[in-house]
Amino acid sequence: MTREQVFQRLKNVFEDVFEDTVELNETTTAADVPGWDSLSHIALLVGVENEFGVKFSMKDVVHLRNVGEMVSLVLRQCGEQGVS
Amino acid sequence: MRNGLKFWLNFLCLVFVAHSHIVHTPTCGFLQRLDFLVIPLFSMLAGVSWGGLLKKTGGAGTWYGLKMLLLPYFFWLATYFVLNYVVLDVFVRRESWGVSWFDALFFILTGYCGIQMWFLVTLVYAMLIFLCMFKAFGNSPAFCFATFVLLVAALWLPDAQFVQSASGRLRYVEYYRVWFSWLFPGFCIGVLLSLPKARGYDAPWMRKYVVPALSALGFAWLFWGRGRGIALPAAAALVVAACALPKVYAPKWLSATAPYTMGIYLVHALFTSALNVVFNSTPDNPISEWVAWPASVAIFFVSWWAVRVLRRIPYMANFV
Repeated sequence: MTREQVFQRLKNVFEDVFEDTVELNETTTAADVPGWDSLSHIALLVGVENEFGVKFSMKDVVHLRNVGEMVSLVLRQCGEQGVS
Repeated sequence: MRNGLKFWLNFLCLVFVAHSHIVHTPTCGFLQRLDFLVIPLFSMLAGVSWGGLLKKTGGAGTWYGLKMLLLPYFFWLATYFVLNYVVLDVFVRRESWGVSWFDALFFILTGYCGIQMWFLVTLVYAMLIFLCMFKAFGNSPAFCFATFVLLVAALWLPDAQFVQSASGRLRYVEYYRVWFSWLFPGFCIGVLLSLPKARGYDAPWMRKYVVPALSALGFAWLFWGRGRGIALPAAAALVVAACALPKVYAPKWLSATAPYTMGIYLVHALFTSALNVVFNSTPDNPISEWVAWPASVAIFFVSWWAVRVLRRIPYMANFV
């Protein structure tokens, strides 16, 4: 799975959670997306786990700073957990 | 529906946090009467939001929520413990150290370190209890019934003889009363209100008859209401009205502020405490209203700015 493919699938998860079109790039943070609060963040994490079939640890989650890091985390987890 | 729902619920959250920090500013405390309505209302809003998350993500979201809530809980517990019991009591007021090991354990289990910890500790225990209930019953009528039982228990417990005597011995009667009388029932009602599908609130008859009637009940409380008996239905009325109001796209100022309400709530006490120290304010020697009101407005914006900055700092964002 390429970075672009992860990015596109991640965009779908975001739009499902926020029920609106969301502009995403590597440096997008919670401050850039209206309505991205703590509850939306949890819904996002669960949505991403379900979409990619991976499990995040709290250590991974608390260090996330932007969407680019989320993409990197998904790619790393897919590699480690053997998800294609 | 989601935008309309989010707009009005976010608007109520903002009202709560504004009220909360005004009340905690010295001299502006006469608004405390509104606490009867505002505290359960905010707890209810949290219940509605969390109930929505539960429906969407099941137990996985709640488990994440609980784990992510423990970080700010312990961070703010430590912060307000140091601020209130070390900095203010020992260094500013020159009082002797009076915290026993029993007190420390009580603080950790109940968050008794600052008045705003009430809300955070309620969320922690509520999520734990509801997670267990969800694991046991799933998304079924039994879960709804169990929530109702929990609500009745929370309303009954503060007046139960054994709780009164136990909390009396522990010296923290008022703390328990607020917890059980306002916060926990508010959260349970919020979860119950989140269970109907969104379109259930969207029906024309809801908007035509129910919303005006409930809004009138909610606002009537502001003038005539007393005590928790009427405050809980009045708060529930406002939440139902907020859910049933027509779709409104949240303006930019609200979208920019609403995600920070919890952070503002947690941070503002640092600044109100500083205000007390700077002006040497006590209940017998309160600061002038001419200082208190502008200070209150300033503290709101400083808290908002502080949360905005904290959220941009790696790792710190998890605490607000």
